[in-house]
Amino acid sequence: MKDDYLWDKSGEPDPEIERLERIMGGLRSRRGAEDLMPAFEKLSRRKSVRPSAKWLAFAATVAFAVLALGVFGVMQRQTGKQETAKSEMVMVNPTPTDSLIEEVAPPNTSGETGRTENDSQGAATTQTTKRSPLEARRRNIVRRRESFITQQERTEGLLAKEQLLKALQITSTELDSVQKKVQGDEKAGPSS
Amino acid sequence: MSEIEATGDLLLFAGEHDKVASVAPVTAISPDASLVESVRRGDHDAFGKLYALYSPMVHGILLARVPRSEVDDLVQDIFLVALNRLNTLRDTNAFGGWLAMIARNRAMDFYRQSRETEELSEEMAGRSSHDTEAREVLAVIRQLPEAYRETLVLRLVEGMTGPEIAERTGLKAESVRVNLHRGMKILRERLGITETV
Repeated sequence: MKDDYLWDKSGEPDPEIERLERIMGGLRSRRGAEDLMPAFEKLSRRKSVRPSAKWLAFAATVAFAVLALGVFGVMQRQTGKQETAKSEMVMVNPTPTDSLIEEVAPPNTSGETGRTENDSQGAATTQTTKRSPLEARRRNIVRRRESFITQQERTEGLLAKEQLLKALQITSTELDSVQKKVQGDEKAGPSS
Repeated sequence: MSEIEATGDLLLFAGEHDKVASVAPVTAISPDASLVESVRRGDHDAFGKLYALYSPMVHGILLARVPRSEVDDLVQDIFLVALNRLNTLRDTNAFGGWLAMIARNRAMDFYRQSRETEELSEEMAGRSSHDTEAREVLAVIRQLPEAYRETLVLRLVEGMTGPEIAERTGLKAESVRVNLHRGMKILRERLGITETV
């Protein structure tokens, strides 16, 4: 078929199409890739120097990870500094909480019930004027201290307490045995 | 220059209902894709082969649109542009469609920039009778609708078959077949050639 010749040059050739092909074929380009080779070499050399997208992505990831680690480190250091400052602050005033609370809230003793309203008011005012600067400071420290104790610190404290109690028990038993020995020796009298 | 990457069922030359031209979806990995990959790595031989395969298509697309004296230089320009942008091509199987799009856009840019002097230089050049006839036929082809124009130049000037045109340009084979037959019919009429049955 002539249609097939137009489509894929198969089948019976169409003389008119063949003639057109002959005429128009003269318009084909005769230039090859040779002229472009220097430009191609230049381009490929430039591209080989330029990092690829994959490498750029990898470098960006590494940079991000380093940055994240740096930020984390700085944050950790700051937290450490804050904790040290807090512990130092607590060490300055190591007064137990209970005694402070006792001092803050005076006991309502029976002796005070017989006082007049004015007396009790006066006492209260003198108490507040006497205690207020120290009390406020201590209260503040206690609040801070309470808020700064973490779960880990509590566990550590409990463990330390247990160890101390055991050590005390061992020491007391040792002391007992030494005492018994000394007492036995005294009853037996001097050997010489 | 606006540029569209031909990767799917992109419809070209929309608006003219009688012309069919759509980009075929690329599924299997074509042997040309490996050539493109080699060119990306800087392989000279691969570039030579790729140029030999695709320069007729680019030449044909340009010849259907711009003055003949400008075509050869523009072909080289287009290959340089393509080489520069080769890393932006996501699907190497779509290289042909992508390159064809660059060529079409470059032809449009050519008309936006300068026009008159090119036509004059073509007129002034001395031609043989064979060449004169070729220019006359080309002038008739250039008056045809764009889709027919391009397909006919690729078939008659570049000597490509229908399947080759479809493969290189990334267009659907059916579209190329229809455009080829309809375009040839109009060309025969305009040249006063009676179709032999």
